Amino acid sequence: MRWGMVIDLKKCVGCCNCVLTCKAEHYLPPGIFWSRVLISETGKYPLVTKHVLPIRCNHCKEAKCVDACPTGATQQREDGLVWIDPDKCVGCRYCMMACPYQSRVYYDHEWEYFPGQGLTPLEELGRLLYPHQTGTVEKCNFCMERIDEGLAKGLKPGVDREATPACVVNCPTKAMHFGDLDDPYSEISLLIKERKGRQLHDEYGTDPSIYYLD
Amino acid sequence: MPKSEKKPKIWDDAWVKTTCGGCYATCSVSIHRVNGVAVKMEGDPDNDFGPQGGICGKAQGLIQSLYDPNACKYPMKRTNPKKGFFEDPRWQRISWDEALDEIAEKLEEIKDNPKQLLHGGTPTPGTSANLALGFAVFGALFGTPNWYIGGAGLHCGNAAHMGAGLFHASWSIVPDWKYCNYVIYFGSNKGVGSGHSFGFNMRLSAEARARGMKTVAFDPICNFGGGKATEWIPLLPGTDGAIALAMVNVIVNDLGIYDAEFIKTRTNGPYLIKSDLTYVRDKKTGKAMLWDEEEGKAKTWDDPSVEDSTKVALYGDYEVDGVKCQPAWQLLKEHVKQYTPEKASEASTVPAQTIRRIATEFAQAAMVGSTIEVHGEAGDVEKLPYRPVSAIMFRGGQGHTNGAHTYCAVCLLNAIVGAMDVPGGTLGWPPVSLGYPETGKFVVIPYPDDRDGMLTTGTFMEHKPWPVEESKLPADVCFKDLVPTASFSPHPATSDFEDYWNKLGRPYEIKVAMIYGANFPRTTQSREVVCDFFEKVPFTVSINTTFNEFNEGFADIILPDTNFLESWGLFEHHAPFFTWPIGLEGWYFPLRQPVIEPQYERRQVIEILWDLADRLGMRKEMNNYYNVYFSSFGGEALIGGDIHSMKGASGVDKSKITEIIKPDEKLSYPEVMDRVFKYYFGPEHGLDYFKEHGGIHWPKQVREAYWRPFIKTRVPLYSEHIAELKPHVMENAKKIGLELDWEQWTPLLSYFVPQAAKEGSAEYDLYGFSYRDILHGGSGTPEIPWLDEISKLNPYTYSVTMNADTAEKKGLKDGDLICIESSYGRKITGYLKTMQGMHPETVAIAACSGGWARGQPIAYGKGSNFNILMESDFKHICPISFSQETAVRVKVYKIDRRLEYEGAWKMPTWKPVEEAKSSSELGG
Repeated sequence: MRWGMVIDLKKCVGCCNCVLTCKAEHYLPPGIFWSRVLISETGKYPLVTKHVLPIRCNHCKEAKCVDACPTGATQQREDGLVWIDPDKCVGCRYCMMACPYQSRVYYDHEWEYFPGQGLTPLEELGRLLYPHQTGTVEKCNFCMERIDEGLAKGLKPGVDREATPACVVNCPTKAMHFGDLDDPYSEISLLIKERKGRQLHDEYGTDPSIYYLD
Repeated sequence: MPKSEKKPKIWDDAWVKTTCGGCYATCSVSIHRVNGVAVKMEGDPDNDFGPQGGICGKAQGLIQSLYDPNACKYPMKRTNPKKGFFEDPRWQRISWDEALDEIAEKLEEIKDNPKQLLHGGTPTPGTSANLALGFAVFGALFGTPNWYIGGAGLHCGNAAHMGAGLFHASWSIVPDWKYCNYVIYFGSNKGVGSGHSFGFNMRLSAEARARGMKTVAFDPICNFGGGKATEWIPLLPGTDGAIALAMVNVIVNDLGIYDAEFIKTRTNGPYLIKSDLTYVRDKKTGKAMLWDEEEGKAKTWDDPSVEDSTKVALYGDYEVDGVKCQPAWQLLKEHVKQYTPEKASEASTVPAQTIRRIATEFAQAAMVGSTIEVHGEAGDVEKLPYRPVSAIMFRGGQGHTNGAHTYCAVCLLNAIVGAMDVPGGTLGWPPVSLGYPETGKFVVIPYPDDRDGMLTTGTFMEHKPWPVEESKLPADVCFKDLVPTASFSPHPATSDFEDYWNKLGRPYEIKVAMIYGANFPRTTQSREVVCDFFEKVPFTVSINTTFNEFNEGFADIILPDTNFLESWGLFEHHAPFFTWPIGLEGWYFPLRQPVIEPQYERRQVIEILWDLADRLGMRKEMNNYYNVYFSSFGGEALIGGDIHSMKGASGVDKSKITEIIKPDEKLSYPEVMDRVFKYYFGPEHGLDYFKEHGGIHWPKQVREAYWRPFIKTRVPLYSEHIAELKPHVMENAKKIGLELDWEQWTPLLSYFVPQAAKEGSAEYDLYGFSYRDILHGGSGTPEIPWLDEISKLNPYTYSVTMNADTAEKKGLKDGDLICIESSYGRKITGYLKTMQGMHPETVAIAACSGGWARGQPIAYGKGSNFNILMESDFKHICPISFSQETAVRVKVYKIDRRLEYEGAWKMPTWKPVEEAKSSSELGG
């Protein structure tokens, strides 16, 4: 069992819903992103290609961040998921330097979405429902709460909406898929095989759990 | 989440099904509400009205708009008598009664000549879409013809709505993603960036790309449409028509490919044309005539003996009653011979061989003559023509002074291969609904007009595409009376309005403006021109969710509308031709319902208008209108639904009207909705059913999805109505001293050099244009913190973009603050981001950023407002469709300050930072 994700770049249009849905799902404070969409272009006029690349923590099998963490806050579960225990994180940020994908973010200080105007009801509720600790490092956790609560209810992540990462189910182009990389017949394993899915920077030997389809 | 934290007690945890308020698409969504707070939006997976379980990024951002502390909360009155786009309104809170009494009093004062009211607006993100059939009704029944829409002809596809109305009985066009294999985008981002029904188009176009559909995008920028295309082909703005016509020429004259059956039976191609360019008409009936080759004589188009299309001539020179004539198709085929790929290349800079190649690929992929068996959800099966190609266009391509010809040339490209409303071809948003199966209600069917058999919409809005109204000496300040082919008008907020209004003897003055949503100074061409008009209007009411550049500058009273998450909504979903799922996607009539009760003193716009109607004694008339309108979906189009026919509602045969609301009843909005749902869908499907299910679904029949073969109507390959209308428009225009580009008033689709191309010089060497960013719509989105912070991470959204080589030649580099000065002397500033993916002669800005309102602190100074650069007058709009010339000739140079903010309450401090640089190194 190893949770993984497939992102179909033919389908993705860069609408950033994954970025925003992640913000809503985890009540992320201002300036904190667990996922991003990178925009770039290659080629020379007029033979130009625009690239849209949704990124987030790759939940690498060989996670450099886990090795770098001196307190054991960054941990890898048996299902491959890499997460940070905020109670153990001391904010040293070694993991941020170790991550070759710049997928981690340091939560420096609290601020408001409408500066100087106080917290909105949405922010107030968010701080109670999903508190974020300043002075710690954060990143995508593959919506582990959804996965764990879903499994507890007998649901299947990647199949059942409730048990699947929020960004995946809410993607308007259905560009994202989730499932078990260890199962050769899972939807994602088949997609990776059929469409030659690639990992980002495989030369680092990190073996990311996110594959991209071109 | 830290383990040490304890979750609060959850006393409310619900998902509410409603519709999104981010754009006109109004996708079906589900909102998560926890302890009375809306916390997240997800797509509704159970229907086709949207991305089936997903939503776009912009939509999710709107959750924050509900809690923007700067949004409108209470009725307010302006205490600063001075108006202007930088003025501080000095708002003072007043009660609803005070506000409505004062508005009613002002309206009462102008009741003797109700034309003195200007009404209009646009739903901006966060406001409801109750504009066309809610807001418009009030003004139309009050008695004013003056309907003014924000960004008229600028953001809207004026020519697109005109052309799609004529060719598809629809608001706009889109490929049949399910079956299409080859799409040409002309200045459009459908499914990849914006546009109507973004939701289901994103979903369906993604699926099509994944299965191998090829897309070719003609676009000056390689960002959304171009960036996602299989092949991006840069061109100069406004030259799309030259390319489309050259393709028609290559296909018809060089390759000899066309769908003769379609042209004979579904177009006016066989109609006989005289030397004055109008139809040969039957003396007795006045009907257009075609030539029966077998019998060797002219017959009316509907003569039963020419049902067999093999008898109908497309070629030949004939004489009818001594008048020489020839089929329109022959005339058109000869006419397009002048549009060689070489000539199109000269205009557009696209290599001739590329145009020839794309034309050939398109024609071959069309598979003219092929058929397909299509199975419907309800088990129905039809064998239909299969034409898996589509050429589409929206705002970018048709936003020029040649808009009407350009857009219709794209329709012509589809028509010659018969790729219209058949599997794989170009579809309109559904103009045909045969009704909800259990009741037979909610019916919309286009039909042929008696005279010429041309496609006539079953329901529409704004303007009437067909039959075209007569041209009149304008009695309206929008001058739509004069040019009835136009769908929206930029007048009266234009720099030449006064000249013509004076020539008309100033029949009246606009004394009251009632504006719903909208933000004219930011979204309309030239804020100075907008300011000149609105500062003279003595009393302006703004109904809005936000304080913005318009109401701060010009409103005397502002009434707080509900956020879409606090709103009820019914009317926006009456427009299958506008927002409903295309092709074989199932029918779905969604409900908008409040996720939370309206906060502060916000009120539903419809109920505000009914309160005003009560004060003015108009409620009875409004109730009657609604009865006529709803009854129109009972099986027969009683009124068109367009603005002009609203007044005519009182003349409809009473026996055809179902009395859903009694004349004197004063119902709440939900009560009306309940009755309408029951009328359409049966007594068990009232509001309670909708609240629980979010809407009602029923399968689409194949003959609804692909209606063209089943409904015998024709489309104008040859715009005979233009020839017929021309002398009347000329005569009326002459009376007010107005010269339009009369050359464009020709029935033969042609390429005309866009105004922007005529205004270039060695000094103003670049074309400036704007485009819509995927995260933004209208002008309200940069105020949403989530959308703002993501936009700041995008290298292009808040920047001015330019071709890298061009920038280098001018000594400019990324991050430079530059001034863009238009040939009209108008200036804006912005931070440069160079791109390879831009035509070297262009500079571009994502539209509608660069805000300066006090009430939108997040948006303040982010990006640049392109629209300031433009000119707004008759010279810069298409003389047929009123499409605005959206390209502007500019020069660019370094500058040290944000010029356009001089005089504003503060200078912007925002600058792009390093993090916005493209991060391709992570691309792997």
